[in-house]
Amino acid sequence: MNEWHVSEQLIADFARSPGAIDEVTAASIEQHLTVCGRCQSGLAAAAPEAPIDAIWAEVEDRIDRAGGGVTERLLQRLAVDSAPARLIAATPALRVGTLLAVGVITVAVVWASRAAQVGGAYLALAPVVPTLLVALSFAPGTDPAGECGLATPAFGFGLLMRRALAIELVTLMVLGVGSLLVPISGLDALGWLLPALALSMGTLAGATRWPAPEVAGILIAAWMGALTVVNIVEPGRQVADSAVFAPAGQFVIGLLAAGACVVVARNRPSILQEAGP
Amino acid sequence: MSATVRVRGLRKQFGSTVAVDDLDLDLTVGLTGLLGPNGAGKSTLMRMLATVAAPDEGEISVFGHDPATPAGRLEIRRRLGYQPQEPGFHQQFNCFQFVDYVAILKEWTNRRERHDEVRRVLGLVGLSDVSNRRISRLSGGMRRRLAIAQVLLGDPDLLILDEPTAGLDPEQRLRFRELLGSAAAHATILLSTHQTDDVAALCARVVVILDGRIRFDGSPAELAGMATGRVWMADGRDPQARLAWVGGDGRWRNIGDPPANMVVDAPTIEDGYLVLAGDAGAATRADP
Repeated sequence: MNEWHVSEQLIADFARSPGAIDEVTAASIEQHLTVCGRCQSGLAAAAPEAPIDAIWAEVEDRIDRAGGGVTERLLQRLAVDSAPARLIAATPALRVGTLLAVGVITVAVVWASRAAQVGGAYLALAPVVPTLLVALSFAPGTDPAGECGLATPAFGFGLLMRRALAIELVTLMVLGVGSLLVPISGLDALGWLLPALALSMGTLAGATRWPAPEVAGILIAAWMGALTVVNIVEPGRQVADSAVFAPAGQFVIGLLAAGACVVVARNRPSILQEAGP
Repeated sequence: MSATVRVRGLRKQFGSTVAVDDLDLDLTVGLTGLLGPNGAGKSTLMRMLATVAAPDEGEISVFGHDPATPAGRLEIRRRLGYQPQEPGFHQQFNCFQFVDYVAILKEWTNRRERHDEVRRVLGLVGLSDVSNRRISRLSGGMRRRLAIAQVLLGDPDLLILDEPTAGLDPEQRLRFRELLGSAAAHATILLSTHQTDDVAALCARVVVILDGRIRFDGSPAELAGMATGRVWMADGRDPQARLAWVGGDGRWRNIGDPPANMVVDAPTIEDGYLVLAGDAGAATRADP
C-alpha cells in the first residue's frame, strides 16, 4: 500500500501552476497521481474552475477553427484575423478551379509567345485576366451563403471590393511569374502590369455606379481597340514595341490606373455603407 | 402596438408578370402565417422585406427604416434573420463553417463569442453532432435545419422564413414549432408555408396571398370559417363539389356548394384556404 501522499500545500501549488514547481518534484507528483486516488481527488478539489473553463474553451475554439481551406489557413498564417480570413477565403473566384484556370491560361499564353518568339501576345492578353476575375467577383449569386448572405449587414460593395482586390493580387502574382518566361528582356516583360491595374481598377471604379461585368466588358473592348488602332497606325511594328508599351504610353496608362484608384478611394466611405441588392 | 413592418402600395413585376400588386401589410410582434399557391408572390414579398430585392413601386418601412437607402438597409439587416426558399449553400463548407460564415457577415467580430453562438444555434436545431460534416453530405432535412440555424443567430427581432418546414420530419417540425413559439414572444415573424397545420398550430394571424394580392387577413379560425357550410362528407365524389378527396376511411371530403339537406362538416383552416383559393380562381376565370 502506498503510505505517502502529496501535501495539501504542494498539491494546491501543483494545481495552480505546475510549471512553478521544480521538475523533479513535478515529475514525482505526476507519477504518484497515476496510482493514488486520494491525491487525484485532492487535485480535482484544488484545481481552479476558471482556468479549466478557459482551457476547455480554447480546445473548443481550436477544434472549430480547424478545417478551413488552404487559402483561409494561409491568410491566418499571414496574421489576418479569422473573420476577414474566412470572408476573403470564401471568394468564389479564389476557388481552386478558377486559380487553375488562371494558371493554365498563363502557361498557354507563355507557351504561344515562346513558340512564336514574340512577347506581344502576353502583354496584350495578361491585363484581361485580372479584369475578368474582378468582374466575376461582382457576379450575382456567387456568395457562398446565397441569399442567406445577401441579407446580412456586412454584405455589400465593400465586401465584394475586398474580394476583388484579393483575387487581383493573386492573379497579378501568377502573371508576374509568367512574365519571367516570355521572350521579352528586362522590365519590358512587365509592360502588361500597368494596363492590368488600369483595367481592373477601372472596373472597380466603374462598379461603384454601374454593373461590374458591363464595365469590364467595355474596358476590355477599349483596350483591344486601342491595340488595334496602334497596330494600324504603326504597321509592321511588333506589339511589344508599340507606343502603348513605350514609356510615354505606360505613363498615360499609369495615370489612368491612379485615377481609377482615386475614384475607388474617394467612394470608399459610401461603398462601405452600401448594403444593397 | 406599433407595426414593425409597414408596407404600402407595394408592386414588383418580372417582365410581363406582376408578382406583387398594390399590396398593403402591417406586421407586429408575433407570428404571422403567409399562405398562397406557388407563384402567388409570397417569396417575392419576403425577398423585398428581407432587403435582397427592391420593389418597383410602393413603400416599405422596417423598424422605421427605409430599405431603399443604404443606411436603412444596414439597420434592418442588423436585426433580421432571413431564410430564403432556396438557401444556396457553398457545398464545401461544413455545418459549423457555414453558420460561422453567416455569423461573420452578421458582424460577430469576437471569435470566441461567435463560436459560442454558432454552437448554440446548431444545438437548437439538433445539428451539434454533425457540425463537422460537409454540407454536400447532409440530407435535405438537415440542410433545412442548417438554414434555420443561421436565422437564429443573435436572436433577431424580425424573422422572415420562406417555407422552412419543407423536408422536415414530424419530430423536427414539432421542434421547429417550439423554437418559433418561444421566439414569437419578442420577435416579429413572417412564416411562409404550404403546411396549413403549421399555421393553425403556431399563428395568431394568417395572411393569404393570391395573384400578388392579399385576399385574406385574419385569424386561423376566421380562415377556417370561410368554408363554413361548404364542406361535407359523402361515400363518393359529389358532382357539386369543387374539390374532393378520399380519406383513409374511404369517405370523400367534398368542398363547394353542398346539395340541399346535406349535413355539413366542421371546416379546417385548409378547407378555408381551398375555398378562398377556389373562389379567387373562379372570379379570375369569370373576369373577361
